[in-house]
Amino acid sequence: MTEPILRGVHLTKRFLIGKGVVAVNQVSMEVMPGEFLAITGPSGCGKTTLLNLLGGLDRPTHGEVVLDGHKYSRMSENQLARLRRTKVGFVFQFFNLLSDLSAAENIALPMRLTGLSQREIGKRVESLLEAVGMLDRANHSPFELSGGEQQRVAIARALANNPAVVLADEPTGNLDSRNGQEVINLFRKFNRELGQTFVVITHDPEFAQSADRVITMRDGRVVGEAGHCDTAC
Amino acid sequence: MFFRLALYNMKKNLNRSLLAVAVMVVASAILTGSWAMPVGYTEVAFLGYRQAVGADIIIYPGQLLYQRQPGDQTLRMTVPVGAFGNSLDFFHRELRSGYLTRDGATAAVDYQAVSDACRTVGGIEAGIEAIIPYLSMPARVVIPDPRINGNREYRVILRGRRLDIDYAKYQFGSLLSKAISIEDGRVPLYRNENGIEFSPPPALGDDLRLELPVVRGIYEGRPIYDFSQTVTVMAAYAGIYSISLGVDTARDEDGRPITDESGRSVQVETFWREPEVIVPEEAWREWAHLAGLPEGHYTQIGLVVESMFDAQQIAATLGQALPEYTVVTVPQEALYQKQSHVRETGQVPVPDNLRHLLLGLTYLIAGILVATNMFVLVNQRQKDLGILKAIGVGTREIFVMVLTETMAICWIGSLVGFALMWLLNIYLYLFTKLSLAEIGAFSLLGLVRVLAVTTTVSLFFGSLPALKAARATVVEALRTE
Repeated sequence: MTEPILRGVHLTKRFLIGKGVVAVNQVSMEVMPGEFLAITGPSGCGKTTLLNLLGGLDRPTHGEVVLDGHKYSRMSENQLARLRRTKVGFVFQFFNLLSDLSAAENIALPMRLTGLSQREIGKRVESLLEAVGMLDRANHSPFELSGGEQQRVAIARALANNPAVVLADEPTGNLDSRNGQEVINLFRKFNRELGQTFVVITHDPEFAQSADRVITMRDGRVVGEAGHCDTAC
Repeated sequence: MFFRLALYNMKKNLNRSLLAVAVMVVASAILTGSWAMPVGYTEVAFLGYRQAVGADIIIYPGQLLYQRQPGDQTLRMTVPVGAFGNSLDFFHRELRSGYLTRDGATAAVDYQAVSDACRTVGGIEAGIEAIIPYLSMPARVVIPDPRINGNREYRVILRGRRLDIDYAKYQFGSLLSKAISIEDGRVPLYRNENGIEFSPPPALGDDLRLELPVVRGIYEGRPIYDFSQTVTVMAAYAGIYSISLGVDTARDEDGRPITDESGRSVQVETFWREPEVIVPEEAWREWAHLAGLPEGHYTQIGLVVESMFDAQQIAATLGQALPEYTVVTVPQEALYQKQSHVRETGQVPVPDNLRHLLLGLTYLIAGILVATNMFVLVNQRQKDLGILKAIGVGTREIFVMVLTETMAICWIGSLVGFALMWLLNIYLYLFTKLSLAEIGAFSLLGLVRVLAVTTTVSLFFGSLPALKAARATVVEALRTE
């Protein structure tokens, strides 16, 4: 039986604001290798907090996250950073590219952290740019790119180190429908062709529809789960 | 990549960091000037500064006069090596070619003209105590050595001095206590005990044979000495002398400073080390005449003045009265001040403690400003730092990146400060009559020292904002707009 690549066990995140807010409450979930998982729910239901916990950007108040056998609770901040470097890719709603670097340099950045040779980095950057259809914009800075183009660069950056899982927080939330559709298509393409595991937060029903499985959250809890296929689930 | 990012950030935000850079410029300039001055004369004036500025000037006790070549707009150090320009190394080089000429030495200085000019500027009333021609020529001291059944020859610089003035003015270190009176008409000869040894050592009162080269003529104002023919003269060995050059840091064989138990560097007295022997002025003149040196052929003339304050004024006035000569002053006072731990250079004495306090305060203010500047920049860049952390950049790398940026800002300030002081000094040096003791001298070591201080300050004050940047959580940072 295939082991889950990412597992959240009784995850709780409490913020000490006023009387205290429980953003994520006893959430347990598993993500299988090659799965395309969508998380939906109303604003403020704890989706982003859950994604931050799964990606090791934040620490849970209770519970454990296990990524590819690595338990976050046993890791220091630097160890977590190294794990994110190689095993996790992030795609954000507002792209979050480094404005001082070109598209190619943004994509190369995670690879430079792993000590790949310049030649290997160059090859990989080129293939990723080609895969997201941005080869002709390699040397453009983020300011010179449209929102859709920036998000495509961000997706390429997330895939730079062949991560175990890509976590995306409303990747189409800041895009018009055409660009949004292009981004959805890219996710599908990388999931199907490369078997890339995705966990995507989305409000977009069409995006959710294309996922293998959809988790619905409300008030910090998982209140529903539905699968669209059985291939990877 | 991180260094590049750091430098890129620094460049991009340089306009926002101008105040920090400016304060660092001031701090560095003060430090540079402060360090250059005490070492101005004693350590690097002759070598480093000459090389740096491309112009040379001699500064030594009393005031020395050097002729400027006709039409030459550059101040020229006309005596190649050593403060008095009578280095034996120099003579040796010339000896190889058979003839000895003082290549690079000046043409004769007109003693009478200098004397007249001194009278016109006020003479003794103006603080001039004595006008002493610099009497020097190469010679060989020949000492019989029964162990080899022959003679040993020592190449020396034969100096003629007014011993009465030397006694009165300098007391010649240990001359009085280690010399004997020669009262039988023989010429007394004294050996610089720190410059040359004779073996076997002659007893006091022994006759010494000296061989003087014949002067073949004067070429471009310079005497041509020929050791293939010599004039032999006799002198009586009257003792030794030493000339203190002040106190300096003691060093071991490898050149490292020697420290005592409390870690402070050990200070030792240093001495004039030229291989000289001196004889009374009258004897030297007589011998020089025998060797064929034209009467009144002085390459330098020293003025003994009462104080450095007089020296400055006299130098300025004499410079106008004798435009054909270059007049330079001597920071003999600087040596004295160095010995007494008051780093007076020029006319403003600044005690070490006050200097250190001023420097400390300047760098404290500079450091605080740099740190504040970096805090602001880090706050503005929270989101970028968050992105870097999200993709796996560790806290250490973030720390180093911010620290590098801080250091780059500080280094730019320091280099500009150093360069400004350097340019100012070059300007003062070339276009004023100020001596190096007042202006101070510069060296690469000075630059290294300034950068070392800057690096220390930037590491200390830069580590706080760097720590803040490194410690910010990713979620907080990414939430920043």
